[in-house]
Amino acid sequence: MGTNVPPLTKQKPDGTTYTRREDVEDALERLVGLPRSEIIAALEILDVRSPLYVQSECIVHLIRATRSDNDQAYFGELYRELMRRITAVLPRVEGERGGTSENVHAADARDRVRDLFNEKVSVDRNMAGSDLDYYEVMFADAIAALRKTAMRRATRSAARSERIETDDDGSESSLAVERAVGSLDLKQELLSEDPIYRSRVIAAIQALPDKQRRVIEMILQEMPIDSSDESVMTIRKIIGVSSEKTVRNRRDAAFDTIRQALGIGSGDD
Amino acid sequence: MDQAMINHKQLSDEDVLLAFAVEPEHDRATLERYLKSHPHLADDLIDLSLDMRLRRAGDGASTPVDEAWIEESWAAFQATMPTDAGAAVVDPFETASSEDLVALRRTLGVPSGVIQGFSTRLVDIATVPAWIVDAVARGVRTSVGDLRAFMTAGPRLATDLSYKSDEAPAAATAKITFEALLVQCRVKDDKRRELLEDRD
Repeated sequence: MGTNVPPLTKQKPDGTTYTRREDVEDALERLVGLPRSEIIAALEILDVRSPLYVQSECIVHLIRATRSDNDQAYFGELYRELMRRITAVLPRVEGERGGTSENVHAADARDRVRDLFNEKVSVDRNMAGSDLDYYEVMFADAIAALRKTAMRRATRSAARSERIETDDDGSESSLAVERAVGSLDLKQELLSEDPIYRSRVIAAIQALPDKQRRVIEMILQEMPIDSSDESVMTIRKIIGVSSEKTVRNRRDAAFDTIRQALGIGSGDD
Repeated sequence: MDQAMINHKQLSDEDVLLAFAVEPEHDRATLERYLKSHPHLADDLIDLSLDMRLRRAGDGASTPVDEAWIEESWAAFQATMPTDAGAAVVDPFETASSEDLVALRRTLGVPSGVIQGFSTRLVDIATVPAWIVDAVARGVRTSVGDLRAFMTAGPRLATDLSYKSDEAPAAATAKITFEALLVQCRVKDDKRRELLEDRD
């Protein structure tokens, strides 16, 4: 089958070139042969399980492929749909989180992500480059990374009073009771069949303070809290604290908060 | 410097995060590999890892579409699209108020000469870290694209300076790097390092 879809050109640090997923390649082969009216019609399909659903990676490719034409209407439809896809993959900012330092910046994260993405689309339209290739590989995750970049910039340009976090060994409180953390299996909770419950678990994790949330991710990755083996990467070393107790405190406080948010008894009541 | 090191050096923070994001697996081994090679991005990599995990867990949840925002985005993008080759480049410093400029100067914590380095197009925008370009664009209420378009032209005279020299004032003939601008404006070493840091 002759290919009408040019390969990606972005290189990984090891010199190999990024490639699209096979399902994206197949879909693109089909899409580039279609009249534009049919592509626009396909954008209306919202059911991701439909074989005719246009994946976001494909929309990125199609929008780049309009580089040299003047079909504003077609470009506009693709662009709008891409913006919808961006909003769909960005986390929603919860109102009650507005006061935390991170969410002051997250509040306008959507605009910032769009601005950064717009810039990349503009640059790519002027001259074919490879910066948008990531978005043809794995759109949602690349947008997650772009959001991170946008938030880093926001933090940099805002007047920052916060400094690098300090070891909070000293604040070890007797309230942080050691308890059977195994009783809350977050991995399982995130796999719940009930989408409403899942979204509550997600919101509870997102609402945690940064320090605790990071410990939770490393625990979900099954990283050891500490190790006498210097070569082993541990949570304690990564967050740069001297005592494993600090890690446990953060973990316990996080589990406590999540339990409360989900209405699971913690024994504190 | 061997090729691997050159490549490594050229990988911006933004590229590292993107490369991590598009890895086929986001297991412990992948995360550890990135944490080892980019320890300064540890917090961001862990945050990103969790963001991706939570997004996957939330797949299928319907999010209301904010059509007003979509249209606003499209209008904003259209405005940046060159409609014809000779489209005039807007001077964002002309429309910015003096309060805007003062606020921008304070946000960045730099002397006014640095801001003037932008308004006179003296600084080569390609040498300015992206987060600074972003901050300046926001400060003068324009888009990054428009600011870059404006900055591409050659240096020009400052419009609000009085010259006491006997010689007729002349615009600089060549652009200077952002670092040179900071040195010229006597920005202290540690502040300069902070401003030059590539955070993406």
